Amino acid sequence: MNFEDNKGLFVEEARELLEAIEAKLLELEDRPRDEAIVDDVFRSLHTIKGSGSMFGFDEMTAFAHGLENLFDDVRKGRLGVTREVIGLTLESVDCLSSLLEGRDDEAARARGSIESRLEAVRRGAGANAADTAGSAGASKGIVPIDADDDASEAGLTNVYRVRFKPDADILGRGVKIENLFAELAELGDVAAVADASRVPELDGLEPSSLYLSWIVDVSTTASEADVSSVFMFVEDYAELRIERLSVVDAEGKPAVPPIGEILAARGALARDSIAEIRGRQKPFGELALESGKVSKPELEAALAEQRMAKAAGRERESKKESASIRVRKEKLDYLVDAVGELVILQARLRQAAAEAGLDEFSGIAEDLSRLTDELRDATMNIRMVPLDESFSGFPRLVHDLASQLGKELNLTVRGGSTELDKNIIESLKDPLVHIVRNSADHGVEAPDERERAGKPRAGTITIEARQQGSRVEIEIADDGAGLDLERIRERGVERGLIDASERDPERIKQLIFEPGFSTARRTTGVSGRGVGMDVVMSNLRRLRGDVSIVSERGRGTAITLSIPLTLVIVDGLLVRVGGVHYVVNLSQVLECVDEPAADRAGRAARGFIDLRGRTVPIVDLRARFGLGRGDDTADRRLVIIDDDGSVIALWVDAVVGKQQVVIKPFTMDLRQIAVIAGARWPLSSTRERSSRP
Amino acid sequence: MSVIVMNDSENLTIRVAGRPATVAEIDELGDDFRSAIAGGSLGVVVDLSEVGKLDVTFLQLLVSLRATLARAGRSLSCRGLSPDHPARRQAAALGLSAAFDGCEESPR
Repeated sequence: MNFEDNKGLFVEEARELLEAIEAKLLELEDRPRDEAIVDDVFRSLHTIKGSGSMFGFDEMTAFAHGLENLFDDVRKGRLGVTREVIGLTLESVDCLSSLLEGRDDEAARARGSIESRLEAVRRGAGANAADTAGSAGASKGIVPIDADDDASEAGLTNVYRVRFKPDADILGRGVKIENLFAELAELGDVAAVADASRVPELDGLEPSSLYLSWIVDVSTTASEADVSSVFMFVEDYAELRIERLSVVDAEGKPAVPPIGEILAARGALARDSIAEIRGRQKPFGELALESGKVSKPELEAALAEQRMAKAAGRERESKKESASIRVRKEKLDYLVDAVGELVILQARLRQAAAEAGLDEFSGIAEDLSRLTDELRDATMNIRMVPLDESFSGFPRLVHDLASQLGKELNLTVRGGSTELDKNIIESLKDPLVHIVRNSADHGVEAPDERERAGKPRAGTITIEARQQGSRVEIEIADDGAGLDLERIRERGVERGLIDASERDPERIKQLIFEPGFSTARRTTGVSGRGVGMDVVMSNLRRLRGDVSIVSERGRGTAITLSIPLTLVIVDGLLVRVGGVHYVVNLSQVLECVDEPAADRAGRAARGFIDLRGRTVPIVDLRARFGLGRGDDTADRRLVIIDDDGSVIALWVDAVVGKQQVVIKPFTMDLRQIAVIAGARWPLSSTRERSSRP
Repeated sequence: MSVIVMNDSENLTIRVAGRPATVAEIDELGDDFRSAIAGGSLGVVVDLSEVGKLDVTFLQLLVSLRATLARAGRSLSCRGLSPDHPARRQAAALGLSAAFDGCEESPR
């Protein structure tokens, strides 16, 4: 990974941190005395500042520093959590986001004003604290955070030993070692000793390579995870070991190791030299130095460690271990692609084994098939991420919409732990934003209007996700006015989209997905231009998803998006039509029905079959795909599928069997073919297509 | 970055001046150091009075220079290394004070 890769990782990480800060700020608005939230925000700002400087985001670093100071004041009880602080910090997060994404002009416009207000708030807090010591801010509506038990100051000190041996080429990746040490120093007291024993003489030296390694002791109230996070972007290019040194003995009393033990543990002194030096009745360090067995810097570092151990007191904070690693999406996509290819190869192998009729060969093919299935499932599982990621921005969005529209809005999110393919989640973000904006603007009424209608002044928008078989449904509901179907119908007629006699509510509701369709009498900054719901529909279609609407006048509207769990590998039913193989998504298949040639004439004429009393329409795939009539005297099969509640019978020549299918999307020009989702060939010697009924 | 080498009867002085002594310049600086000390038998003084910004690679270069000279029985001393010199501060932060161990201030 080069510098740009690392920078990319930082950008991803910073985006997530900014989203997390935003969510925390909105929580803080509800719970202004929650110190844990304040600490979280402070730590996230600190990480953005520290890591930003490593990757050249100097303006962002400087700006984050000012904001970090503001939250340091809050942490220390010098400043209360007010609406002003929350609002200003939210604006600052937007500004940081602009700086991160390179929207420098946008950031520059906002920055000056924000910084002067930040400064004013901090100055005001200082004056306020001086004036009202003991009854902090009560007269100005400021809610002070209890300062008598500042978590950071009450937190106990631990000593961590970091063994850091960077790869020789680490500097070529843009890593600045000095910045790492500066970041460590921000956590607490640092004593570093560099091991220069591998630095060659000038003739063998490549000056831009790094031959040094370090043992660094950090005495800090921060956690091991905080220490570890300093090395977040370099751990792939270094040997890194972090351990917490014990500063208590078995009885919980402070344990200060003798200097000789520390030197031996650091590898600076052989253990058998300890007794020899100790016998000389002088301070050990002095004797060790005199003996020439340790150098002055080594002794100084060991003494620093001993001082830290003395200062650390009792150990209370437990270790935090990182349970996850960050992997670039491109790497994951490659892995999925490779597994997809493996699935195809495995299918070919199994087919070849069956054709060859060799038992041992077939056995191996079956074993490989099982293993491939496991690998496929595990790989697909890696791509599955909780929807929380997509939902995290909505509290802020609803907060801002409420301010812009002068409405009172609550947001309820449920089912955020429901998992979905990461690529799908990314594509869902925009449609969800469109729908929530529409709900806030057109759905939820103004507070007075709601009161007159006997509703609470604050409207509620609910986002709920749930898994339904191989699909995920996301419902966005509001308790607003509901769709005005008559108004929609009128607009539809005016625009010539429906006939004036049209009265079917389902058909009328679908009009809101027409491009440019809007019933808004005026355009607001939020919506009303008729841009949005058609985009929702087209985005969903690209994801092989669907949208449905339930609305009741005066009670609200619920829009449900239904999306497949993943887009890449599906279990399919392989069917043959006109010599071509097609794959039907197995999750949609209800049953297969024999269709003797003798019965066909009547059915073909009727266009449907009677399936145990249920009338099911027939889709003749030969006709649909222009493959000719075929042999009228041959028996065929009907594959009965459920297409989002509509039961359909697909008329095929033969059902070949169950088949795992890797779906590769078409290029842009072929995506217009409505009935085909994608294709993959050659598979064996046939062409295979995935059918989208 | 420029390196000015001066010989007097006792010492060879290498004066580092100009741009920052950082990884971007360090290969060139390494070549200059190698050329400067080649074949000499004198003590070497590195004049750091005009060095501003520096990074770990420069300190590492000094460590290497000192080892090279020591093996040849030659000494290394520094000039312009005030108590608050960036090289001292950086070396202390990086646990590299050893780079100046025995590298005492040389009088002008």
